[in-house]
Amino acid sequence: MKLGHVLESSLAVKIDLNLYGSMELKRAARFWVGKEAGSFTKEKCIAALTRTMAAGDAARRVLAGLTEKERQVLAIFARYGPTVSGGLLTAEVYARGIIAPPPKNQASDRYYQAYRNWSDLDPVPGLREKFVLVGNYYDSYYSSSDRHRYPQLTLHPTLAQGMLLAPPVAWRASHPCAEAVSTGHRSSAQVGLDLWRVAEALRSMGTWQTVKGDSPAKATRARLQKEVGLRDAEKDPMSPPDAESLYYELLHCMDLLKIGDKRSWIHGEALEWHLQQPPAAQARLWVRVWLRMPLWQDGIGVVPDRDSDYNPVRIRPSALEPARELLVWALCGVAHAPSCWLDLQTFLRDLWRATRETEINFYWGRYSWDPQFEMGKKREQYHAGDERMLAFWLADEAVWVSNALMVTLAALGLVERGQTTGNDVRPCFRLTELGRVVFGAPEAEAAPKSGEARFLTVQPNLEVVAYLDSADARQVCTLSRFAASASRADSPVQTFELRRDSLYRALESGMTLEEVRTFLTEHGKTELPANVERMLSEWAGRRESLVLRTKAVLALGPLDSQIRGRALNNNVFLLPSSTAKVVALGFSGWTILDHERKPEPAWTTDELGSVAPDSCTSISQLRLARIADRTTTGWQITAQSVGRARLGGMTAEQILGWLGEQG
Amino acid sequence: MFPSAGEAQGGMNSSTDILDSLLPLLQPEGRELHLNAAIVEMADPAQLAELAANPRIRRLLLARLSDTVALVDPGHAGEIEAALLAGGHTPKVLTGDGE
Repeated sequence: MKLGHVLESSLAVKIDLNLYGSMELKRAARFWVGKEAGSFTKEKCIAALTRTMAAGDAARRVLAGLTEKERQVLAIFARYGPTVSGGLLTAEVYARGIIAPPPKNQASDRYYQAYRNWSDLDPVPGLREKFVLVGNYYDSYYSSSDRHRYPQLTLHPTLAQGMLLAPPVAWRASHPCAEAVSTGHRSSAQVGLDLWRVAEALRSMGTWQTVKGDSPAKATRARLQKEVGLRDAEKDPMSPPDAESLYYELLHCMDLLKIGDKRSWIHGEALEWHLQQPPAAQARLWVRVWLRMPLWQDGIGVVPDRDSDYNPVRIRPSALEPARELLVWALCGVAHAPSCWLDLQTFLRDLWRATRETEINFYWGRYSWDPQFEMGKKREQYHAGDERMLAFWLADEAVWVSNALMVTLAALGLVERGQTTGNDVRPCFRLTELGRVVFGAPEAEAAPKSGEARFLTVQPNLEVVAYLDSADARQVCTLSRFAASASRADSPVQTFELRRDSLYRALESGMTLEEVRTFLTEHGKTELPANVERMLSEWAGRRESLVLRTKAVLALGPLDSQIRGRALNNNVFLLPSSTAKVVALGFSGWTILDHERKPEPAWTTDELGSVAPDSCTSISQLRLARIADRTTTGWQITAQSVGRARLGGMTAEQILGWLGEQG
Repeated sequence: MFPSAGEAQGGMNSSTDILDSLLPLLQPEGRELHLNAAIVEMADPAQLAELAANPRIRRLLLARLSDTVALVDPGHAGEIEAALLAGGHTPKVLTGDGE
């Protein structure tokens, strides 16, 4: 299966030429139309540009008129979609060497000239002037004393088709690790199971409380923690903080949760469809929604949906989103480099250098895991310059990157963690096979799987041991539909229990006993024990022996020979559901009682408990018989009759409810 | 209005007596059509007796329609499902006359 680039954007823009001034229009028209456009009026420029841009050969003519550097810039847009964010474009332009980073020595007398010379070589402004790249009209370059980055730009729609994709840029680690110890990674099945468990816990709640931004309320988070019980950052700093809420936000951002004013619910079919997808397609979607997830932040957890300069409660989403995008951009490079372990601190230094013109740039001081980089700890000792800036970055933004990379993306099964060997033990990482496919797309593709994996063992004690490394999310979620999870540890080997209630839930949700049996047989490493098979059959049989039928249509009385129904007793028939729609036709003269409607008042009750029935429907009579004693003139509610009803399980509220409804 | 199934058939038997004491048989005076009704169907009378003997379930049952079918008090279909599950039963939930 071929995946699209994980950072690709489908955002297209519509160009409104009327927003531009006559000089800007003339410059663009000279390029698109020809030199003669230099003498056009504004209106003539707009008309000529509109005509030329719509012409069939416009793309070919435009490309022929561009320089090689300009074509290289356009190839970046072909790779990432018609729209490319400012941060990504900046990182790409420098990484590909289309232009060297801007001169830095601002104190030099020659700086201004050097900067002019450098900016003359920049192909992006020229492409904007030609309307080949378009952006927000009011957006301009952001430059500060030490940064120069581009705004978000979009390739002109005429040129969006037929462009050659820029090739991937492989990450060049300045110092790769030779080997790693204490390694560990999660499989996509484990992630899928976590998502499923959170969704199931929400489903069992029926509805749940949310706060601003549709984030889970504190009580909801506590309930999720109790029901799902994923390992949390409080117990293990290498686990995501508010782990259940990470999956909640994933579900939410994948549009699988519907949050209403009065009730919220799971889009169950869409979730099942998602989990049926190949692992790489699922993981790609997790990354894409994580990129834009504002209410769960790496190393922080659930954050409120508000910002404050004086009392910050989260990293501003407008700063976090570009930072996540740049980290993913770097990992795309890692996916295209030979697979090897990368020392975390070295990777962060390389990342800082590769993205320093852009924007992994914010302040937050409290992360659940702080790798305590030596250089960051000694930041005050560095003199002004690049090393000091790097040291401060390592003490702050790099801690966020570490949490995003080594905790969040590791929890999503994309990154494998380890430690360097030798005396100086430091964290290191590499992409998992899944991570290489997701971040390496569209060039990298997942190896095709050979048939259905045998990933479980059913034991005679009704336990199912599942080896998640050999399974995919679809299989594990099917297993968890009819077997209850018995292990809480975050381990690739999980134990499930076959229980009567878990099988019942699966059968009620539409699975059949045969499907359960076939699944266990096809995926079992050993034969299904005979006693387990017997137990499953017995449980399924017990379900069949007790039926609760709702929305039934019952005829109490002799039936017309034309109406068919199943006889439940003499003169009691279960009719086809469609009968309800044609009641008026075949049942004239019958008393119609709709159990979903509020009953008509049928009793007159006085303050002494005497009840006179106004009608003699069976429901009214049966209810009276339960709570009152028959007298010669009607019915009488007495202490004894109420006591008898209470003995039969009736509550005072139910008795009062009947009196209120019927009286 | 509420003779036992045994009486209705002209005879008596002990299982019907037990059922009568736990849950009366419904025999309406006139012809009635019940829409959106909820009923519980069992494999045998003993199972109905077991359910009717449980006060948490019995309070939601109005009468029995036969020795193996009980009528649920209107408006309590959801509650009886929960009560059955809480009582360790695993009812197959169907809608209308579907199988």
